Amino acid sequence: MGSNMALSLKELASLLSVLSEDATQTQSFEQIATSFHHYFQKQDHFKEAGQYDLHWAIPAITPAEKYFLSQLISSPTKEMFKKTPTQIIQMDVGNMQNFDVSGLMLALTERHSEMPAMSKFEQFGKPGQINPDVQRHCMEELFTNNKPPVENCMRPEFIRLAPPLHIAEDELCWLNPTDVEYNIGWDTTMCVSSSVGTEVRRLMAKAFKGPLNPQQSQQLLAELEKDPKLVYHIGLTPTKLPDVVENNPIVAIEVLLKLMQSNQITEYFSVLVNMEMSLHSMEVVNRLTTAVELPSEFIHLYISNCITTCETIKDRYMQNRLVRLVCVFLQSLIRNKIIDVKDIFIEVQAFCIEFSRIREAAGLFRLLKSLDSEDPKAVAQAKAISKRTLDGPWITATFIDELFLPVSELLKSAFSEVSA
Amino acid sequence: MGENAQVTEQQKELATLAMQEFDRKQFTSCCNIMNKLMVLRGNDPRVVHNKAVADFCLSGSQSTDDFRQSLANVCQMAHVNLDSGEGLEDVDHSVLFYNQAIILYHLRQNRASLAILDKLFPFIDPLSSTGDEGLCKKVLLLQVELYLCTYQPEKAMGLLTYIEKNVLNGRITTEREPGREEGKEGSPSNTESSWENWRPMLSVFKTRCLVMMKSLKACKREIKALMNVQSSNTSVVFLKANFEYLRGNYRKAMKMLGSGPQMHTDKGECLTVMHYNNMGCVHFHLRKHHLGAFYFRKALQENENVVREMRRSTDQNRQHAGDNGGSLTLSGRPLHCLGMSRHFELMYNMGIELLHCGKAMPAFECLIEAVQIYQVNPHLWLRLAECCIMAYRENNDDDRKLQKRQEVIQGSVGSGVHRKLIMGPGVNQDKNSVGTPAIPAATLEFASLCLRNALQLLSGVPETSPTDTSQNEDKEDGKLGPEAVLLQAPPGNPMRAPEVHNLRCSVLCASSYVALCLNDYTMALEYAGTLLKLPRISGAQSYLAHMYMGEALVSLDRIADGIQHLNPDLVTDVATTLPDNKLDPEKTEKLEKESDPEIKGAFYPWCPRDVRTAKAIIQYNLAAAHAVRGEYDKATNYLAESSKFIGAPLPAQMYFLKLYLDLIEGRRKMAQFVIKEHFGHVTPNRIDMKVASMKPGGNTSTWNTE
Repeated sequence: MGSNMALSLKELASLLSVLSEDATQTQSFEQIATSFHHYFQKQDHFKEAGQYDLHWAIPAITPAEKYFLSQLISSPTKEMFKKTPTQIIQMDVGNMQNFDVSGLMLALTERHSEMPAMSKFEQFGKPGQINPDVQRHCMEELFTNNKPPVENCMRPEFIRLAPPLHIAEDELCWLNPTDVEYNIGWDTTMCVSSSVGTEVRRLMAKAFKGPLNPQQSQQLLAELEKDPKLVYHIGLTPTKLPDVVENNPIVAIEVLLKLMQSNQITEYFSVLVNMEMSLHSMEVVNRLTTAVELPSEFIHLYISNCITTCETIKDRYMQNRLVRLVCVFLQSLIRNKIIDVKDIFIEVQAFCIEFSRIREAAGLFRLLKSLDSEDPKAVAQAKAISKRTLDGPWITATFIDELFLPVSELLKSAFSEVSA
Repeated sequence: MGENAQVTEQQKELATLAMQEFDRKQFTSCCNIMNKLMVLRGNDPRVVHNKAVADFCLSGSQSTDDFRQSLANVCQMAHVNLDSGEGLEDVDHSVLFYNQAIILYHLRQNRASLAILDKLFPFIDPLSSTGDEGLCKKVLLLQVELYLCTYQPEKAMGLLTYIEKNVLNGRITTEREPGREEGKEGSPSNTESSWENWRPMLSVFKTRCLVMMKSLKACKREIKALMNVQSSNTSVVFLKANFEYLRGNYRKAMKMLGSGPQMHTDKGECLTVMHYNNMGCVHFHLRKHHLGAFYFRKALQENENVVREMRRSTDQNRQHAGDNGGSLTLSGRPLHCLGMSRHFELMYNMGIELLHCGKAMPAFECLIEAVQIYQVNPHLWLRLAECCIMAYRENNDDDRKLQKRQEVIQGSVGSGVHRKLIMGPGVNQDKNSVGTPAIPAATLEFASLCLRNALQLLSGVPETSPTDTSQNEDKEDGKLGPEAVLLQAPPGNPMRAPEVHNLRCSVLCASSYVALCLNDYTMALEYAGTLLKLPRISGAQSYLAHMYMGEALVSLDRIADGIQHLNPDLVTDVATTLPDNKLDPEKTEKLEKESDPEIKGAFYPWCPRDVRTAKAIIQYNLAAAHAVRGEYDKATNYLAESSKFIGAPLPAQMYFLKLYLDLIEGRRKMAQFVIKEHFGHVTPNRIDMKVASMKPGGNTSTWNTE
């Protein structure tokens, strides 16, 4: 039922006058209805209906009332409304035709079953009927006011326990004094640094922008050689490394070698690995690999970077050049045993096959094969597979490329055919 | 840098002299020398920089605004961008970065400061070997300090290890620049220049890390060594107290803190505030919450006094300097005093303490203030939600209060035959709050937001399986295992995996409760279900989760499922702590030795305290569930059973259900009898005399089935 069932005092008075003892004694239902409509607008009907309902909810109703209500709800007849309520109450229902409320009950049950159990609870109150003054007072108390008691709903309620406060062993903030005094610092390098540093810095700033002449780079390298810590003063941040590599690879190599002890060296490496592939960057990496031991994952990353660059470049002429470069670079790495062939075998092999039209790639492939056959296990494996696949149709190089472990024998024949 | 001219011998001499004066803290003469040097080399950024440093020190570290401006100018002259993403270009610029970091540190912009120092770190090695050890040391110490200030003890520890390995060991002072070495020898006040003098300082730092990581075993060793060497050092004493506090030796911690409040340190910290605060923490753990709140209040007062004092002297200094405030806000008080107020830390502690005093609203006010600063602390969000819950329902015994029981019968109207009794509207009424939940107020709607924040903050940490806990115990070297999770919880110490787990359980439990109160049954079910799936939850949490699921399921019209969760026989334990509370064996032993029974168990009492009452309550809920389904006989039976054990006075809900069942089943006389027995004030005597005589000596506190 609606929450706005509360009636104003005036409305209640009107309703009570319509339903007063006197009126209900003498007037027929039709008359009552007329006066009811006189006082109340249509939108109020539900409100009133609510109050009507309450009349029969409690106390128990007589059979006569029951009959009346069932008639009222199911099929109201005109004659019925001509009677007064008193007449109806006094009516003898015993010989009335068998009235049946079970249908009504069924309908009600059906309606209830459509609702969740928790919302079936409706209000019930107990208005009385006799002493008009006390009665009116009573009704006023029950139906009017801000929160009329008639709206109170009675239903089984759960006891809902609130959770206990969270227990934390260490939650509060303990304050400890600081032990050290933190003060502004004095620049101790004031007026003590020599002019050498300035010259080196000037040369370095040039080296970022363009190639130095041999004399200049000679001077720069000599100064760096003299003072191993000078390298930290020349303004070479990892992000600026590619500029030096492109413009002055010789300087870049020397500087990187000086920085090997720095805890920032890996950042320089990762910049170097990820910079655009070029003759100069390759030269720097190649020189570095021969001078110091580089982390292998760094070299692998660089190789993959090179291969990807070769594969994606559009300019045919440039592509040929770069592929040749990469092949020579890889051969040098392999021959100097800087990388383990096994780690990159598949990737490099695929690369060779893709660019088999280039002589250096074929050379690299042969080198790979010769190294591969030294491994007895791989040879055995290769033979086993070749037996299986030899009878099959001719396999193109690109197809082999897709095979996970290409067949060395078959490949060789396919390869010679292509190069021929 | 853009030095344009060669440095002359005279300039060199002046520079050395200036540095000597600076080291001896003779700032007036230092300034004079710098003025001379400025005339000669006014374009040299380093000279300008040192001039600014000298001026700043001469002002008693008070002209912070001027110094910041000068620093910015120097950076411009030297083409240095302190805020750029790129690192440092020249190791000679280190001091600029360092000074900027120092200012930010004192302004308590710790993360910004750390970002600057991180750029400096790659140059630490060249920095220390090019001779500027003093600066190198300062940078490293500041960085460790900042890691601790930002609650990253593992990083601080890593840096300390780095310092020990790479800086301390095998380092003999460099032979380079003998002139400077001589200069240092000439200044006896500068005793901290030697690397060897570092060790005690590093040891203190290490202890702070270990305390923050709660690696108590390693900490014990470190503390012991510290106490042997520098037992009079205030910070060592505080650390020792902190350690004892973490170990649960609260009496010892209190003894260490001593009775007499201390005064300020020269580092711009007020020891009195810290002392009171720490005493508050100790009393919290001693379960003396009102005393704890007293100490926190004292700490807050003291903090306010100090800040007020500082403000007054600031105003005087400004007037003295002819500065009338305006845009310059930092000048007028020493740099190291700028960030001295501990207001928000204290508010945080105070809020939690007040909550445990049962004062939900004042606690809420404190915590709302703290959460503006410490938004990433999931603890804090849960505590806020708990304040809201406590404001909504002060205690689980609320239902038994006289006032609640009296509301069962709202009153009576009329008289004689017209006399009507009005039943009350029920206990769990929807208290819809006004306003939007986004505006902080102690409402359940706001609690729901807080809890969602807490869950969100916890979501980054994966749930650990119960076997993982042993790996989180500290290893011998004081380092944490790789699985150890440290979740930020400022201003408290970061949380380790078991703490995160416990917190998650509590948040889920509270979430389920709040969702239920907001009629969000689906979410209530979800939260409770998630909670029940977690390993290692306390007895009380498991009990509550089943109870919440039961109610939510009944409300969702899945009554049969709901009844499954309301089986009283499943209730075996309602302890609020974990069954195998994984305390340090040593710690438990200590606790027993101190024989302080109130130290164990919950910080705040929770009802029901015993399994019998808990069973009775869930049995009552079972009765209610059956009543909803219309199984009135069962409901009556369970209700009668429950009323025997639930303890007096009975919760108001029981009277409602009893009357409901009697009325709906037409036992009018019985209902009248109950009303007469328990709500005599609304019933005229004559009506029920006969009912009473019909059942002489009826047990009034329990209702046996007829």
